[in-house]
Amino acid sequence: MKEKKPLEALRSQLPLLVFALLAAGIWEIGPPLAGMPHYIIPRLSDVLVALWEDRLVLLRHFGVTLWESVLGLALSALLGVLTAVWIDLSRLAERTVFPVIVASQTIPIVAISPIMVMWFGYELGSKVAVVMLFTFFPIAVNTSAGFRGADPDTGDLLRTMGASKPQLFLKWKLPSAMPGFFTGLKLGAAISVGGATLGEWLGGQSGLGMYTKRASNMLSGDAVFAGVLLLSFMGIGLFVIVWWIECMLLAHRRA
Amino acid sequence: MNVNQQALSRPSMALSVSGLAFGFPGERLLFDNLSFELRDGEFVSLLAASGLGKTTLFRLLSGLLPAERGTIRIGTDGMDIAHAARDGRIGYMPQRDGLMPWRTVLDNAAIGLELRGAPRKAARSKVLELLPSMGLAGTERKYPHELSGGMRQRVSFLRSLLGGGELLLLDEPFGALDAMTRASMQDWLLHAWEQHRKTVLFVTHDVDEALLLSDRVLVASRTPVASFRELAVALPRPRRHSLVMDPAFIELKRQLLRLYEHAEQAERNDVPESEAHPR
Repeated sequence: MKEKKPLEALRSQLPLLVFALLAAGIWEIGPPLAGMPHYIIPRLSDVLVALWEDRLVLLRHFGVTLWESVLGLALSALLGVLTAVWIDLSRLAERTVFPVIVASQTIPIVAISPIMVMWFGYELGSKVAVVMLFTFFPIAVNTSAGFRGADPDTGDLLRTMGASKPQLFLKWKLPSAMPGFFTGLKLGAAISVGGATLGEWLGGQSGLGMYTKRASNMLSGDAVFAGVLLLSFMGIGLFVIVWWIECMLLAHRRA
Repeated sequence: MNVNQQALSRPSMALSVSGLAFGFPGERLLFDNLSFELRDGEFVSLLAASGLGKTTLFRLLSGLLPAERGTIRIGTDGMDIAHAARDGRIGYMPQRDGLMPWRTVLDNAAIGLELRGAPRKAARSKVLELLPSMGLAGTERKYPHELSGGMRQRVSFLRSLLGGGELLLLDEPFGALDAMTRASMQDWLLHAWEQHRKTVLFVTHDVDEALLLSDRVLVASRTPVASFRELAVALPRPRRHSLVMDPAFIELKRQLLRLYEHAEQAERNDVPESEAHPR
């Protein structure tokens, strides 16, 4: 395949670029025209100014929230994969644990999050726990689906070649589940920041979630939007990093 | 029944099936007291209508399914199928190639050696050595999705060849290919087989394909299969695809079709066919 030239790549993204600029423009001049007070919808330039002026404080909170998200996501990935393996290995687990995990999704996560604060306190623990509450399910379920989707023909073939159970797992099941795992991890990366934010709302002394909550209490809209902007970038950034790792590892596959 | 001269000079058995019975739970038997043998180095085709349980037979012969009754033994030592499969003595080539999309051609073909604990480097160099003779030179770093259907089947065949020692079970490997590719793959298989001379059991429902490739053709038409009728194909080797136009080939085809019809007739009349057993 031919490499795209930078200019061509830019041209293919042109509509998106125009749209983004247009949206930014409306954000900048729209609210004052519509008579919106700045504490309801601040102008884009106000947000950028707030972002710059509070940069050191924001950077510290950014780091806190990022750490909570990444730690929670990593633990979810570990626990999710172990659960998926367990479900794959045990018929009993498949018929008991799996339905329970699926059914547990009807419980509103937001409603049970305060319990995490009760159990794990106001420190890092409760935030990580809430992030895990958000991210465990997509990782466990998608990895599990990956295991189930392993091509049975390939499994049969390896068995006729005398493959042992560990060999079947390592050379057939595990590689087959990788795309599913990454689907789950990407979903998890995108929502992990939301989990961390909620965790901070429920009780915390630092982090962008706490920052935006405090700013909104003080009716400083520009600071709220600055925090939200950073949270979005964090979510997008985590997603892109996972996506990039996936591309590196699974580059040669075709679905 | 006339017996292939070449097979007679090497009388050792590669596969002996006796008294085989199998049916899925709650369904009628697919095989009932079926016995047949494959001689060492023989290419035998199994010609049967769809739904006769060909794939099931292959799963039995490769140890994936346990037989209800009867024995399946591999090689001159007569090792039981369950053990033989564990030792990797059977090379099974499934209908769909089952290539692993995360492995290159090289690593897909080497999987059998790898499973038996061969060092990766040694396994790879063994594959590299064989790739040109399989018409796969220069593809070692390619991934399955970059290959055509015919190429994928070649990789699959090479994998079976390296994975299984003595007996190759090929389950309609060319069934999904278009007619042109199929013809060239048949030529290719003839060539590859003549080089390696492994014992092959080849399932197909293509009469021409069965005759072209085989030393013997086994025919079954009705379930439960209690015996095979057989036709020896005494055409000289090496063979090429153009042989299908040969009068001798056409005469054999006529015999084979007659045999096939007789098999249907006989089973309809429920006549025991003792003469249909190879032995």
